[in-house]
Amino acid sequence: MSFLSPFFRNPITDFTGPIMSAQTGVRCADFEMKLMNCYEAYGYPKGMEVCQAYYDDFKECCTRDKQMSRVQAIQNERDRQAKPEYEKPPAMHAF
Amino acid sequence: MATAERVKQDMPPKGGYRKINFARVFPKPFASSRAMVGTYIVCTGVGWYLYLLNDRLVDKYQVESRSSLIAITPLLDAEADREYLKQLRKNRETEEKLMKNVKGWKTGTLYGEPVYKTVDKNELIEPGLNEYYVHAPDKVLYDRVYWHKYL
Repeated sequence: MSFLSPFFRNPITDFTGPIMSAQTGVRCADFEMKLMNCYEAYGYPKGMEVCQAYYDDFKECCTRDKQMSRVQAIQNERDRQAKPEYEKPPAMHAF
Repeated sequence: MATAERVKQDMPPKGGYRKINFARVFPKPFASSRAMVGTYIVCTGVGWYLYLLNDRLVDKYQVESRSSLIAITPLLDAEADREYLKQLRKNRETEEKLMKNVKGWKTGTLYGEPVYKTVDKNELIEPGLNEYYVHAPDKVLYDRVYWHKYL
């Protein structure tokens, strides 16, 4: 059994709940807000199914799992080639 | 005692010894104290005034320098952004060229699976640092991440 809000709500949970959130950051704040709005709209347990895409996107934003897998796949492909070709390095101070 | 009578006693010279000079000798003054203090005050005042002039000049230089930096910052930022987007395009083309033999690979996705499901296709997905440098030799990324080891 899982809950989206505290089982026993009191001032302490109100105070400590928002501490660990992505809202203070820049990258994933929007993803988290969309996910939370969706959860709030559908509630438990229907929200767990309906908001799966938002959840996956938020998780991807936090962990960059797919992006890092992409990098790994590209590196593997390059290592597989007999004569790996590299490009010129990007200009500095552009990232 | 016959021998004692022949001994000559050493006596002071006639008129006695000359007087011992123990009086303090003052050096000859360079100028009167009023003139010295006056000269000091005038020199210091002139020095302060010149320092003030120079200080104002340095302030002007610094304002000029800062203003030019502020004026040129948007241009530098825009150039950096342009360079970033150009590099992203180059990365995409390189990825297309490199991964054309990989089965099921679509550029910008993980084997056809989009990175973000709810984000619009036309929206820019910003890469991480290692994704940005993925087509350059490994050492470039290591050098730029661990640049402090070369200090």
